[in-house]
Amino acid sequence: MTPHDSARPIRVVSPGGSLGYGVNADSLQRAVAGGLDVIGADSGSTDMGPYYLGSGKPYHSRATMKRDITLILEAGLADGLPVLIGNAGGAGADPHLEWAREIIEEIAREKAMKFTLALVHSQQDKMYLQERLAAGKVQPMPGVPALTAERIDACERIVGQMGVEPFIEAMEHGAQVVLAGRACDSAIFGAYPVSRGIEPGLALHMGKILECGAMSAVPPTGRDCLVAIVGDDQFEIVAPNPAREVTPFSVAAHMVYEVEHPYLQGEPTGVLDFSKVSFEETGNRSTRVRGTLFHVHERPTIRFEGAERVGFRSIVLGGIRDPFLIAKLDEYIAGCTEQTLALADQQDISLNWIVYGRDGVMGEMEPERDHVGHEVGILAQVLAPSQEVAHDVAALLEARMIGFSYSGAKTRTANVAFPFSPLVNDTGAVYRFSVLHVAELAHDSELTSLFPIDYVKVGGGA
Amino acid sequence: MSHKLIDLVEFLFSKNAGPYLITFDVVFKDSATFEIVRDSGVFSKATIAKLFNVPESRILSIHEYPAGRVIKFNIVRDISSGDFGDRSVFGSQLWAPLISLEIPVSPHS
Repeated sequence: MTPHDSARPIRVVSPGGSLGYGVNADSLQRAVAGGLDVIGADSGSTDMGPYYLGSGKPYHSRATMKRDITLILEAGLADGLPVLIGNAGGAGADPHLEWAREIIEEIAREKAMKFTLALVHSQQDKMYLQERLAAGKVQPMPGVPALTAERIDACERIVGQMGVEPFIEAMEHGAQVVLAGRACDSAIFGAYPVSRGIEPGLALHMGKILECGAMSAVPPTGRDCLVAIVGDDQFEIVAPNPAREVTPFSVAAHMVYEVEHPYLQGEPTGVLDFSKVSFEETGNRSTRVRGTLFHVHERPTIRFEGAERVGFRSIVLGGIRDPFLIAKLDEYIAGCTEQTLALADQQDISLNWIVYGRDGVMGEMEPERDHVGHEVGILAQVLAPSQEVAHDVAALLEARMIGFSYSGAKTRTANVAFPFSPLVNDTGAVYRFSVLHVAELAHDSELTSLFPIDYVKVGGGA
Repeated sequence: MSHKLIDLVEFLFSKNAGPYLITFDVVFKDSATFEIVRDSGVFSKATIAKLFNVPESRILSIHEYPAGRVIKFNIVRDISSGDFGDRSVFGSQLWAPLISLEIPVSPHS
């Protein structure tokens, strides 16, 4: 890589909050026309819950993902820019990487593109985490229970969240397109500037702002592009779409988004500190940011995420309009549950009720639980060790729900308006994030060696 | 005198900060309003615990960031995102109890 020429800043584009949501093609064209050095694209998170990591299934619409990847590949290859995609397929494990790789190869075939693709794996051998746990080098993220060897064993799959190092290695090896598994969003955008000699704290801070696309602009949206122009000791955030502007407040407000701490944020090699950051309006709908501090860890760390299957779910969905039943919902739910469990005679069954119109969203946190609407929606769910048992018990439950006799009834049977036939719907496996823990690495080299890279010559290769 | 929080904010929301935490962002209309509310001391673990009917032990932290005009606090989930019994995979839609929180405002401010 050529070292960074400080007279010429580095221009990075983020096409949006998540690849696969629908990139704004006009804004991307404007960003390209402004001159770019690298295209970064985030494509996942833990935000959608543990199902995707656990099941290996992709999160996004395939058709829209194909459209979005096509747009950034065309833009990147036309100008010889590296294209770095992180969090492939949503959860970034091997099946997700494979899903996204197939889309890329399909696009390349259809568009006669040729390039070297790096596939950066983030799925982990469980033994590594077991060894770090046994060595006492694993800490839970805030609010997460302490890790045990049993929980690691129980996970369907575990990923590590890579930093900039594997991206840099892939680019140095000649990859024009990097498709990475689970990655720190800061690293997807920060890797190229770091490779060109920009200070890591500044580069990663810029990445944190770009990761959600135009969420850092006014009006905010994750469905539009954002550009960073990175210099030696500051960066400027620019909205390519003329309908948006980037203000000191819009940047600062986004820096605290979806994180526990507003100005201390952990990265594999250190902690970003925004407490001394200053923001300056440039007068061109953009804002300049400087003053990022980076407290380097004595030993690097990697965050691990693992999803464990807790069972299979079947659901019954219905509505109640009978005011006398709405007045007796607690009795009704307790009675249906008790009768179902008695009849089912099964071990390891859980029943759960969500009552929309009463406390469906907030549960025990709901302060207005007594203000029940004139109708309520009932979502009754069964969790069981197999889908067959879950379905069977849900069928029993549905029969209790329609026919349960509650006190003070002014009607007979027919308690619930069900919208579906089938009445019981099987929704598949349910997972839990049993691993959400940070491990201190044994060697700095593990920042790359934990994330092995395959190089693929797509379309005959470049 | 006092104000309802909803009259002082630019926006309010709840969202995941990872699968085990719900983070609440209370973003004020302007810096002066942010400072008045911060200095009122209303955002305490005791107040938040009472408002959301959770034990104080589940209020992990309360932070402020003047550049974002934001006070944010974090509640530890009882059921992690997407696990059986969860009600909000993204941690969204849990901020409504904040709307009518009374913020005492001194007559001098």
